[in-house]
Amino acid sequence: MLKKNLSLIIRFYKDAKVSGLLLFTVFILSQFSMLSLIGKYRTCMQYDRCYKSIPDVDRSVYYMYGENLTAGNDFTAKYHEVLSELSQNSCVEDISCRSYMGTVIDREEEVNVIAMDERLLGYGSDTGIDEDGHIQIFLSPDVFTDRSVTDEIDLQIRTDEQTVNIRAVISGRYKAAEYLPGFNIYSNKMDCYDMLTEYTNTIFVVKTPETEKLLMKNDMYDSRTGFIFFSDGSAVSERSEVLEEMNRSGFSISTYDDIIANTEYKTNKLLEDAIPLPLMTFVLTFLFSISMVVLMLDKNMQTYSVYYLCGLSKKKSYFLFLSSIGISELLAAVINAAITLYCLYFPERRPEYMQDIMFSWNNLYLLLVQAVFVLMIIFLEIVITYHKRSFIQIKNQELK
Amino acid sequence: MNIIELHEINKTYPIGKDRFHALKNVSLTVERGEMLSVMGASGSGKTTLLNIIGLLDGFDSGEYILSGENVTKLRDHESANIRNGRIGFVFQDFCLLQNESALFNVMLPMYFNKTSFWKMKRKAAETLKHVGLQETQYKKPVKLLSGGQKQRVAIARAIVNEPDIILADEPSGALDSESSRQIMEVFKELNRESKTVIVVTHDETVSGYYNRVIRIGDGRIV
Ligand SMILES: Nc1ncnc2c1ncn2[C@@H]1O[C@H](COP(=O)(O)OP(=O)(O)OP(=O)(O)O)[C@@H](O)[C@H]1O
Ligand SMILES: [Mg+2]
Repeated sequence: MLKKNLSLIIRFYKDAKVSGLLLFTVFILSQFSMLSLIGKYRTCMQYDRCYKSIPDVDRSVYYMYGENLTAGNDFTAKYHEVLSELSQNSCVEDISCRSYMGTVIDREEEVNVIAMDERLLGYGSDTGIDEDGHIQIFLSPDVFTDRSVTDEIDLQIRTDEQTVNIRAVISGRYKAAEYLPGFNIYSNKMDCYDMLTEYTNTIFVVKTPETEKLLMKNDMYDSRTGFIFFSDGSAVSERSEVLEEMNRSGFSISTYDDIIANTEYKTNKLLEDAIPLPLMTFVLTFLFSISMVVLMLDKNMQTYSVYYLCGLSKKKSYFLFLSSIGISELLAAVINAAITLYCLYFPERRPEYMQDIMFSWNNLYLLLVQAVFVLMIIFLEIVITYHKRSFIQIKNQELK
Repeated sequence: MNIIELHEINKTYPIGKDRFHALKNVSLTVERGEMLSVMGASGSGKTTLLNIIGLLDGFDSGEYILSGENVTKLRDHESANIRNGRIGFVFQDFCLLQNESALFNVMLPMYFNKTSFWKMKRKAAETLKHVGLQETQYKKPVKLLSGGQKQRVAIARAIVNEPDIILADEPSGALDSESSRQIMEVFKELNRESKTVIVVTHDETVSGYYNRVIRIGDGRIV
């Protein structure tokens, strides 16, 4: 039975080869534009999500010290002094910023080494060192791709002052689109897009006194920007006192609420720019595919009236129509699923215009949902174009 | 034994807002193994009657008993099964898939029953041989065949599932007189093989082939 059905399904395209190919292409395009649409939306949402996933970020402020990020070195001493004063304050729980360690040479490539607090990294032990005394490192997606998590590795870290040899253990690897604070942009309309970045070519270590000792690093704070986390339950008045104090000592400050509001504004603008094209493609291809289906059904109407004469029930002809077109739709879905998997496994290899499209396993589910939805519409079309027409009507039409 | 019993069949067609009464209280019984001709003027309702007998079309009122079974109200797949296995159709305009081979056209009814995929081709070839189509024509697209050859393909398709009843609507209408005669011979032969054959025709000269001739005038049997 399967062979017979399959043979009839293939025959559906026999008299409509070009339109069949067109329909198939349109299905692929329609699905792809849906995935781009959602992928772009997902990218925007991802920044927001990564920011909000920093523990206790809702009681933090983001600051910049000094006029700009490239102020001279004489600032440094003063900066450290001010920060350590700030950290004395009872309502300040933590000051979190990036510390730049140096570089590692890996097969003639220089890889950056950066230290950050555990809460910003999202990973790591309290000390940043495992039981065997190896420093924990976390890799950006593109670093040491031939090594896996739990591998141990000897690193020679070069800083301005000296070179240290340490034994490290790979404790984690970031996936694509796991954004971390970049600490290299500050604006008076600070938002998540400015704040977060997708690191490449970077090794992270947890910034703790233990790791800094191991790495022989003296300066605690490198970046002129950072977070101040207020302690839980500290009074609003206390906090604003600190903020005023910071303002006076030359800090610019963005609160959590500012950042969220700015992000929302920016997201809306980004979506307004990014969405129309794929949305239009999606709508057009969708409409086009629907009309193509009507055309294909029409081309096969005479054939199916002969099938009817030979003993095919109406119900089964719906099934054959639906499977014939469904096979195109499903094949297109398989192709788009393959594209999704490719981009998930080799995010660095996707073409330029797909960089801001975030792929996810969810795509497979979405493709399925869209396929079911399209098949439902096609089924409706079949019922509308075929149900009311009897064999006699179709036959008489042929005679005209 | 009656293979077909029609009781008081009425059939109307919608024409705009009105309805056209095409069959009026038609009752007809056909015995198994009969070779029957339906004659009548154009527009008298012959095709309408044949379509109803063949379960290709419904009717407004009346009762239809096929081989002792009431088939007045059948479900979609039940009437499909009867069309597939118990009734064969032949039309004036052939109703073949013109771009497909003779072989495929004859295989088609077997796509919709339990014949195994591998046997279909052999059975189709046997049937084509039985109706006298030359083997060289089997694989050609039907549109390249002559009218008489096409009608042989259509007859082969009608009988490939070995139905009891053959319905033919002006089968020789599009053929020259020699081809018509040959096609009528094929029907006569099928009738000898104990099939019930009903042929709609205008052609009075072939009335010698039939056991019985019924005439329709203005939607009634006269
Ligand atoms: N689908 C239809 N809609 C409306 N009227 C129809 C339809 N089919 C047939 N008729 C009418 O019903 C009557 C009988 O038609 P039918 O086709 O049965 O005649 P016929 O005896 O087969 O004629 P012919 O010898 O020309 O084939 C005709 O008057 C025709 O106009
Ligand atoms: Mg007629």
